[in-house]
Amino acid sequence: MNKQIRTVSIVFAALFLLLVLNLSYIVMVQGPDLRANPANTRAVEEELSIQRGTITSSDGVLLAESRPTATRFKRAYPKGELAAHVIGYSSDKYQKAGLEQSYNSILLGKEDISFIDQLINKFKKSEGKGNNLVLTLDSKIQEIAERDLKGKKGAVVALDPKTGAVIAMASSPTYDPGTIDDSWKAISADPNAPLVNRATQGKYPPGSSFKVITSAAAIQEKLFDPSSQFTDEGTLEVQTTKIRNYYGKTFGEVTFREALELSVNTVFAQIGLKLGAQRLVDYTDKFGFNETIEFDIPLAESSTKNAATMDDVDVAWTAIGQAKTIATPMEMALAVSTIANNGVLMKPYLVKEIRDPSGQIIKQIDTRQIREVISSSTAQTVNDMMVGVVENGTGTVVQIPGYKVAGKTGTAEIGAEGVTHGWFVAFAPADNPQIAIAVIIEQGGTGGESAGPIVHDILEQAIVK
Amino acid sequence: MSPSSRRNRELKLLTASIFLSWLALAAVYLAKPYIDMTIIISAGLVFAVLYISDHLILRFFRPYSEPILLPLICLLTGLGLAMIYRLSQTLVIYQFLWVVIGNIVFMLLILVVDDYRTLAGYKYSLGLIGLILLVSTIRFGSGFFEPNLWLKIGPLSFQPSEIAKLLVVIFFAAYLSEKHELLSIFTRQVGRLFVPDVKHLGPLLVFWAISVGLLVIQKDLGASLLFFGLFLTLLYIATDRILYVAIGSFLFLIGATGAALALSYVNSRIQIWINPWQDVSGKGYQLVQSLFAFGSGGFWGSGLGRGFPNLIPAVSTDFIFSAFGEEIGLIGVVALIAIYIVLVARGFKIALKTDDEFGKLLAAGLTVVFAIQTFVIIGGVSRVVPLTGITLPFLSYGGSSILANFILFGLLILVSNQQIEEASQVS
Repeated sequence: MNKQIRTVSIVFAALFLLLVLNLSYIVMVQGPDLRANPANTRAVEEELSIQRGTITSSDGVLLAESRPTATRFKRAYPKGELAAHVIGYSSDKYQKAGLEQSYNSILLGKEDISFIDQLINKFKKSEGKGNNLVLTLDSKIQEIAERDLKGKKGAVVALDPKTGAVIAMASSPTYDPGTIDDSWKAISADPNAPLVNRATQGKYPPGSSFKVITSAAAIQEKLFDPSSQFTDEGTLEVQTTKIRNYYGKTFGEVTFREALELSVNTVFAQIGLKLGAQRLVDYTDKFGFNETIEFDIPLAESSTKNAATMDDVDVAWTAIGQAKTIATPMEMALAVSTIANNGVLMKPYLVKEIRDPSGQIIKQIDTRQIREVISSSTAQTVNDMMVGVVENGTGTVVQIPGYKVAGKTGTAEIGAEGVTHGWFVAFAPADNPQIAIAVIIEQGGTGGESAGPIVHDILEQAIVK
Repeated sequence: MSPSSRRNRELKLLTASIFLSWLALAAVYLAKPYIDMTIIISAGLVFAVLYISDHLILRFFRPYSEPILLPLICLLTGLGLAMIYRLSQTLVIYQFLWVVIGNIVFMLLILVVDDYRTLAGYKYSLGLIGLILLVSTIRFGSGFFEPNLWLKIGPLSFQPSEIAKLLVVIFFAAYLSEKHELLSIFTRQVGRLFVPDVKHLGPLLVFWAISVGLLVIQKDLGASLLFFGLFLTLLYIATDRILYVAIGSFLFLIGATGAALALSYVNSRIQIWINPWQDVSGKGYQLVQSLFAFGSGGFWGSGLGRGFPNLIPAVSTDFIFSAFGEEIGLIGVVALIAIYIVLVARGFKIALKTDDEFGKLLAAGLTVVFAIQTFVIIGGVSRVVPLTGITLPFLSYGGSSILANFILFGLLILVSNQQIEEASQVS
């Protein structure tokens, strides 16, 4: 019988080996698919068992926290709509958006900063708790931005030009991330798209606010200086089209400085033609167009028409921020903050610190320079010309007694007759910039009328002590 | 190896197993501190005392017995208790009681049965009791439309097939040790092949009928497979006629195919096996959740108490292996399979070393039952074979299963002791 027993034991050895091979196949080969399968709810279960980290503003206002319920944790947003588009939401049903999405693994404590920190966390028993985010946002300025945008469609982006820190970022209409599970159907179907962060995803023609970039290019290239003389005849014929000034005005003999203050289209079309397509686009690119700028939440690319395919008509229109030129409010804020920061473009950021559950800082975000766009003397010249816009030109609405404010209005045509988006870009104080800002109001009329008062309120809050 | 060195080895391994069990319990307790720590500590101590008592009884009464079996059983029950605690804080209390009862029955069996050969004398009574136990659920069970394998007497529920399988092994071993010569001589010639006489095929046909009956009437695919597999394997070992295996497998295949065609229950089990993904939230749910558990556990596992095995229905009984897959990973479950392989290999070794034919067939039969059951359920939850509702020995929750497996290894230990004791007396 021993022979048969040996045979049987070999058969069972083979069968058990088959089990091992099959399990190895399931785990090692099919494992990634099994983990990622949407019917596998383990990832969701695991998330719900972790106390997600908090999100606070730079001035310590709690914007998001996870509160324990009987069995799991529920995300709460104590300030409701405040900074909704920046924070986003973390929903059981509708996934995530904003920082809740891009910093998900840090908020869950899954992506620890280093192995040592992981070990320390184990000993400190902070497992099961996520890391906390401290933002660059100033809650008071954020509140003013959102209050002023209420009832309008538009966006506000305010940066610290020296560091790239986002001081305020608002988009209107907005939503309350705390009630997203209940209100999802209504807000996701709303034609005004309250879920979209217009500050980073909105693509608008920049209109005359773009003249800041055109001016910087022309001065850097030493083609003109602020006192260069131009003649405006009200219209400028370029090949088949006529470039007109707003309201059909004619200014006659003007300097470059006056042309910016009064936003004379025909002059800037001439400057653009003098720069030529290639140089105009090169400078635009340096200011951050036609590239993906790294940011804490998704940032759409701003763009111009390709220089190689531009004819003179395109060049003339591009120089005044029309044609195929499109910019996000964030991009215009970056452009104006480059002027404010002596020509250096800083990488924008929203998260200033990552703290562990006990409040210890585990990562502090370093500011980073993207590039020197223009020389500091060029930046200073454009800065000075922009002060003129606020003191003598189209931007008087943002004047703040006792402070020098630099700015530029924009009134972007969007195709339909008489319908324009109102832009305003500015920074202050002009001699020591603390804040740079871009505001757009969709279909708001002129920039001075629609966006100007918002810029004024925010600059006043930010700089008046 | 001298008896005392065998027992010292057993004690060393047992100590390691007890420590590993405590470690597993501590790990799940840290992750899920649901009950008072003093309860956990006392349970851990009772657990150790039980197995040390087993060891002392073996040391003083059956010193020649195989020393590796008890430590491995201790480790499996310890890991099983830790996992069941982690899965359900109610079930673990019952499981602990069953482990206590299992150990006591084990000790009594070791003390009472002086010569396992006396069991052969009761073969027909034991066989009959086994048969009665098997059919008992037909009379008492309520569900004709879904498997009902449980006998409920008052608050106690019991799965008779677990005990029945042991009685049937004893009966087969005794029956075949008497009749194997008769069965292995093929007298009838069909063409060029010699085949056994029809009257000797009787028992084969009877057990085929019983197995198919189990499948049809009780819808118990697992038990059906287990009994018929056991019978064929023992018949082959006893007679060395592979033809029995061939005929038997053919008959079983016919029976199973017929059942698959006629019975929706069997049919759906096979459909799920072939493609569990066609109905992920319905019929395939359980198996798919099991595969998710293995996949999510990965190579190292989530750590004891840190996964989500409760997403799998029936996780503490049939699917406990998947819970281990999720929490101790591929490396852990391969280690568990290695423990089962060692137990099976030792069982066959005992069979090989035993001189008398009843002992050989008994040891082989017990080992085969254990091996088939382990293979069928691990294969079932990992989609190697269609899923059948049977328990994983020593790990799954279930009183009858724990009790039956303690008796199974008690018998194996008795056979191993007697075989070496008698060999040493001869020399």
